[in-house]
Amino acid sequence: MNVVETRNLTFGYTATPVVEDVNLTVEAGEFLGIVGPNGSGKSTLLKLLLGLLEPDSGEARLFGEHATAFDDGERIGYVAQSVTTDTSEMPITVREAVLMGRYPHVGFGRITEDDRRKAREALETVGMSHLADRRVARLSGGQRQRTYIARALAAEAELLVLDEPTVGVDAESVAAFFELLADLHEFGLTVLLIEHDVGTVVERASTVLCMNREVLFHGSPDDFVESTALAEAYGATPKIMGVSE
Amino acid sequence: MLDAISGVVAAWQSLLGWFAAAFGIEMLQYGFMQRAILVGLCIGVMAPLIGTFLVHRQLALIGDALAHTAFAGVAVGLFVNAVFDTGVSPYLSAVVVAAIAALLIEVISEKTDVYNDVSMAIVLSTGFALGTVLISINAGGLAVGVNQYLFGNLATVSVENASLLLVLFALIVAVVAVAYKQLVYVTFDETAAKVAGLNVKWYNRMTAMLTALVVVGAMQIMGVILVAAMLVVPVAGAAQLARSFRGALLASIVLAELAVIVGITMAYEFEATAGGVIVLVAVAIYVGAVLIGKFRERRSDVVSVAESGQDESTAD
Repeated sequence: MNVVETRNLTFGYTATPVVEDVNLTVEAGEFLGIVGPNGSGKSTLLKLLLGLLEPDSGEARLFGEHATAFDDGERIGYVAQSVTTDTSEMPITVREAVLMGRYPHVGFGRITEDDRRKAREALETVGMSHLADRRVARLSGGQRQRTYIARALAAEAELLVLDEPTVGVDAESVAAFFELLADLHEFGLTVLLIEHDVGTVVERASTVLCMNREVLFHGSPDDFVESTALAEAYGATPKIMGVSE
Repeated sequence: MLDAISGVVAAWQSLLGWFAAAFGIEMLQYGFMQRAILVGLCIGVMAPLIGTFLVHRQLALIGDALAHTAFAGVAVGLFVNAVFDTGVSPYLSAVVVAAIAALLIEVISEKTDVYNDVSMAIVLSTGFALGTVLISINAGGLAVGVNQYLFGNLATVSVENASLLLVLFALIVAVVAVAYKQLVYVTFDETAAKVAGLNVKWYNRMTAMLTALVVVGAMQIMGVILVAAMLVVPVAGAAQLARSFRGALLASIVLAELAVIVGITMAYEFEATAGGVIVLVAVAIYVGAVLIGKFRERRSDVVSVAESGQDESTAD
């Protein structure tokens, strides 16, 4: 069964479609990088895939179910675009935030020692154990990233969805973050990543989707570099120069 | 059912009465003060309990909006009683009207996708305007009774109203106890909560309804105009002191109880309006919390600089 499957997926906030006629399949274990210029509909596509938006026409399926009706929340770990720049002063510790990954499993029941252990292990995996009692608001962008990834790991998610996770994170942390992502992918996690740095996607992803409202390219990173999709999407000055950094 | 609850109120009163006699505390020997303290202690738990979830969703103003619509509810109750010669408690009509307003605010925000303070301000002023109009066209000396709802009054807490508050209190605490995890998730990260399969819309509506209940419950002592302060001020103070969410929630209740107990005592001693004194005490506690928070932050900055230095040396 495919993790994600769409058929003629079309959506617009107004009459003008932002995402048009997208046919996409993501298999278990795939690492799909989604690239495209600002306003190309990447985040909207992600929201459609997650069932946060209702498509105007066509359909999106998550683990074989209609995305909007999908309620096995613990199978998906989601890291939103705003997490690194969010200035919320809400008092909450890293430990508490990661434990939230267990909430969909627990429902209205009680958190058990087993849940706490899984949260601890997730913190260890992302290397955040020493900051477990720190307030999330006091973390750097990179540390916050890791916290949210740990939440997805604690949930034992099968699909990790990241919307521009490296905005506002320093270069060193970004490199370490992608190392972590590669490890998790190796370990068997399916990854969906929106990333503005095309070079990073080409380097890390197993499949690339390049879009600007419509899908311009969908295939292997090597073929993507050879294709004209990038020039089409971004205009005359392709950003792929980043590959040779 | 209601008999059983007024039984609880009676038991509480005899307990405080015994306390008053045993320790010679004058304030506690009056029936109205005994009930006022019971109501105050309940407010000290339920207001910050719900307020914590509001403040951290940046919804501090919703309490104000709902309090003003609750005033319209009071006016509706008084109006109905005067016209049809019935004996409906104005607090009951206030609960109904405030709950409807709460839903309305939620639905508006769902449709427009953001909480905007404009819609909140419109609901607030509509409620208050409706209240004043209903009261003004309702001749018969009602203006005398309105002060009690606007500013709250320790002396008018009847057994009936104290019982109503106990019911609201039990309901609010029970709902938060059951749905605590879900409410935390929705408050912290709404989108992720949606992805995790929570019905965020439903939880937001529920929070707004609970806020309406808290506001009406606390109105007896705090009054329409000041009631929202109890949802916000202790929570803001606690956020300065606690690191964890659970810690902040507990701290906000402790701070609110402190404000209520000190406030009611001072109001009694100086014959001042309890609502106003409680809020002033709460604000004083908040200022204290900010100062302690700043002091601690400065100290922890020094510690974390030392820590990160250590990190680097171990990383090499």
